[in-house]
Amino acid sequence: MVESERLQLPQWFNCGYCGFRSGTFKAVCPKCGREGMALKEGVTRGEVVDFVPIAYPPENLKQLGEYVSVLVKLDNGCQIFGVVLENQKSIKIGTPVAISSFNQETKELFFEIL
Amino acid sequence: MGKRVAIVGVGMSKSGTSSVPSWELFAGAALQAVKEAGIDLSRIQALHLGNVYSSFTEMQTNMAPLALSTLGIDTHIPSIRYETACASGSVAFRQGYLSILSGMYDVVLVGGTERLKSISGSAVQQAMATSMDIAERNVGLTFAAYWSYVAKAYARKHGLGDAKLQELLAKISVKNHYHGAFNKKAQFQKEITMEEVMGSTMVAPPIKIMDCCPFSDGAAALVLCSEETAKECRNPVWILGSGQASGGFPIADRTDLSTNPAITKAADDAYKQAGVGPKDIDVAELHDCVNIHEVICLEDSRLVKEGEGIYSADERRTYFDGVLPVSVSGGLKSRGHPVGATGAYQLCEIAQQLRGDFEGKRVKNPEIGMTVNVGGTGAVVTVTILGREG
Repeated sequence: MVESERLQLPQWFNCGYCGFRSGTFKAVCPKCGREGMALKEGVTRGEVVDFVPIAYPPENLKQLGEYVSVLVKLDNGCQIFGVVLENQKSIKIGTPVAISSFNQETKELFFEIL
Repeated sequence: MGKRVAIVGVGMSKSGTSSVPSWELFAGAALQAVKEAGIDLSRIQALHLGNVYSSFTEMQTNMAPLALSTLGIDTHIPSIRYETACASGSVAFRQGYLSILSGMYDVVLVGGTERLKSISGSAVQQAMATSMDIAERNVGLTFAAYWSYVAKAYARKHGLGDAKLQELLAKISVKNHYHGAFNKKAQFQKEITMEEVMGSTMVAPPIKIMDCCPFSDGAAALVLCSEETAKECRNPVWILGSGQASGGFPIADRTDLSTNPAITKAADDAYKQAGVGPKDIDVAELHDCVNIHEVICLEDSRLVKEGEGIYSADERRTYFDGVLPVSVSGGLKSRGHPVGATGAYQLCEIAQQLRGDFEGKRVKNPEIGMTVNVGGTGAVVTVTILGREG
């Protein structure tokens, strides 16, 4: 695990377009066509855009048990999926959340409810 | 594009569970298609074959030459396997079509094959998950969750409450099983009730198990040929338009999950090439891997207006005797979803509807039919328009 503040997300292209959402590298910006994806640290908070309770976890996440898949809009405008394990019943659209941990090895990304 | 290409023979295995490997399944379907075409096997000049998961499920790659060998074709013709998730069968079809249009070949064999039932459900799910973005899989997204996000986005956009959404979705499953009950090649040849769908296990709210299609074994094949060669064949069905488009791969990049612009692009390209519009379509096979996706396909291909797709089964518009018959085969839900073959099944079924010899419910005198085949989480789309007359 790494501290959430140290998590680097490739978020911004030269034009400011939010090109990274789910973790996929893009060689050029879909908006301005230029190269130059930058890595940024420190954007760890956002709010829940939508969520889906997962009663039957996939094989790669079986060890988690039941979890909630969340689509989160970070404070910089990027959208990203993640996992919520605690206080699952209290999640609603608009619930403020923060990245709690990121597993470098498995690439699992966890949010906690604020 | 002055040339024309025809479908002159089709063949399908019964969708469901197979005891033979996928290349043998395909050989059986291909022989049906070749016999129906009345063209000697030695005249086939190339094979374009869709297959997705054989490297996981059957520990076999390099499927296309294996299928040729299994067929007994030893004329050293080219053979190619296509993997574009659930759209593999229709992409193989399209590449065969383009190879004839180019003038390179005169007669080609196309289709798809898949065998998923031979391994455990969890292994199939793991294999199928590889068709999604690995980064999004790692952060908890599943196919079921994706369709849940899509359904919820659609419901919010159109002001549908959860109970109403689930009820309207269930009616699509009921409709497709009604059709499938009459299809001799369908995996589930039985009707289901609203109560069965509504009472089925919740997978990812609001998506329940009976909203989803099964995994299937199956193969489908078509013989395509040039206009000149089609003169030798009886009852050709013409390829009027073919569109293919790519959707964005990561889901979180999309601004509106209730729509897939790639379907619209592929459909518009196909309509333009065919010189027809949505109102000219008499019958369609759509990609109902989950019933909400039948709605998305209906709307994004412009067959119905935005917001109307969800009501189409409830209003019986999409039944075989409705104004816009959809998935008269039973669709993926009832006919089954042998992934790499599904697009080829759809094309065989529409060709048979147009010829009037589909072994199931038949649409009354259709002249133009359409298929929408979608791979993965909407990342690959083909739309094909077929016609009785060229």
